[in-house]
Amino acid sequence: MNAPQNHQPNTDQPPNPPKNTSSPEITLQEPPRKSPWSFKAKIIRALWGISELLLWKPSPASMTGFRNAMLRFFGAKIGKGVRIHPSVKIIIPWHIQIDDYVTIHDHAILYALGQITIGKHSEIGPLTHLCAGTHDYTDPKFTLLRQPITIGDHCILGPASFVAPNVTLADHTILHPRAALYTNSKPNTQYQGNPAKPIQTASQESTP
Amino acid sequence: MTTLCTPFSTQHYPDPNAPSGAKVLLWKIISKTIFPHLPSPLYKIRRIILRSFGATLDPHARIRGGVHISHPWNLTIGRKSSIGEGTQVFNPAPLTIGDRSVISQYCYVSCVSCVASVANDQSDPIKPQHPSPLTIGDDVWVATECIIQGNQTIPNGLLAGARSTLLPSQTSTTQLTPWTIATGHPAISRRERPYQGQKS
Repeated sequence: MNAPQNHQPNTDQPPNPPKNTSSPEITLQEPPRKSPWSFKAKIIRALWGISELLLWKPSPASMTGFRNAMLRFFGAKIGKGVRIHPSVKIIIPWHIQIDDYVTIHDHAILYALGQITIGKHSEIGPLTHLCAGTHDYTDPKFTLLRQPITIGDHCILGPASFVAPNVTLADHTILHPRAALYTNSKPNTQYQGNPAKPIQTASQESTP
Repeated sequence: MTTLCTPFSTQHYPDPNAPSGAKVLLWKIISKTIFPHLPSPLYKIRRIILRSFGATLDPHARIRGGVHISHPWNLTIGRKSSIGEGTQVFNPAPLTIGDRSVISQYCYVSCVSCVASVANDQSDPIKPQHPSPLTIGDDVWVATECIIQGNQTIPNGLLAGARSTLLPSQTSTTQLTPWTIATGHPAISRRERPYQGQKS
C-alpha cells in the first residue's frame, strides 16, 4: 500500500483564500467553503477509522508489535521497541514519526493533522493531548493550519499534559501533570502550570 | 478529558422545555447507544435526530461524531457553528450558540456551575449545582479541551485558548471582554484578537 506514503497532505494545502473584508450579509451568500481534505485522504482516513475500531481498540495491550505493524501499513515511521497502548487515539497515522523505545500510555490523543515527531526514549503519559492542528483565527474563513509538533529525545510528558501546535520540545524536557505548553521548551527544564512555565528544581538551585 | 462522565441523574433539575417522559427515555437510550457512534460526516442525520427531539439547529450547523448531548430540547445552534468530536454538552438549562462559532474537540460545556455566582440580571445569587442558561456569542472559538460552566455569556469574538477554563466571572479581573484571546485556568482576557473581517 504505497498510497499513504506518497500522499503528503502538508504540501497540498489549498492556497489562502482572498481576505474577506465585506459585510456579514455578503458572506452568507457565498458557497460553502471547500474541504481542506482531498478525496483520497478522506477515503484513507475512513479506512483507518474502520480498522482502528475493529483491530486497534480490541487488541490486547501486550500486542505492541501488531499495532506498530498497523501504523507502518498506514505510512507511519515507527522505530523498534515502541509501545503504544490500544486506547491511544491517532487521527492520521501517516503523519506520525516515532523513534526507538518510545512508550505512549493509555488514552493519549495524537491529533496529528500536522507532522508529529517523537524522539528516542521519550515517554508520553496517559491522557496527554498532542494537538498538531489549529485555525487561522484572524481570518473570517477560519483556514485550517497543519502545524508540526517535535518532541526531542528522553522527554517525559506527564499525565494529562497538553502540547500546542507548532511547538518543539528540546531533549530531556519534563512536563508536569496537567501542564499546557504553548511555547518551545528549553533542554533539561521542567515545566508546570497552564500556561506552562519553567520551574527551578532543587538540583538547579544547589548548583552555583 | 475522555474520563469526564455525564452526571448520573438529571431528574431533579427543573426542566420546563422537556418533552413527555417516553420521549426523554427514548433520547436517553439513543444518546447512549447510536448517537455518539455515528460516523463524523453524517451531519445531516444527526441534525434530523436532534431536531426530532426539539433542538433548534441552523441547516449549516455542524455537530461532529462522538458528541454527547444530554438535553437536546434546550439546544440552539446558529448559522455555520460547529461542535467538535468528543465534546460533552450537559444542558438542563437553555444553551444558545451564536453564528460562526466553533466549539472544538473534547470540550466540556455545562450549564451547571460548581461555583456560586450572580445571575445575568444581577438580581439574586445562583446556587452551585443549579442549572442556569449559557449563551455563547458570534464568532467565538473555544479551542480544544476547554471547560465552560453555566450562568455566563461568552462575548462575541472571544478566543478561548486550548485547555482553558471559562468560569462565570466573580470579580472584574476575570471578566471576559469581546474580541480578546483568553487563556489559562481560570481564563483571563490577555490580549486583543486580531481579525481581518468585520467584527460583529
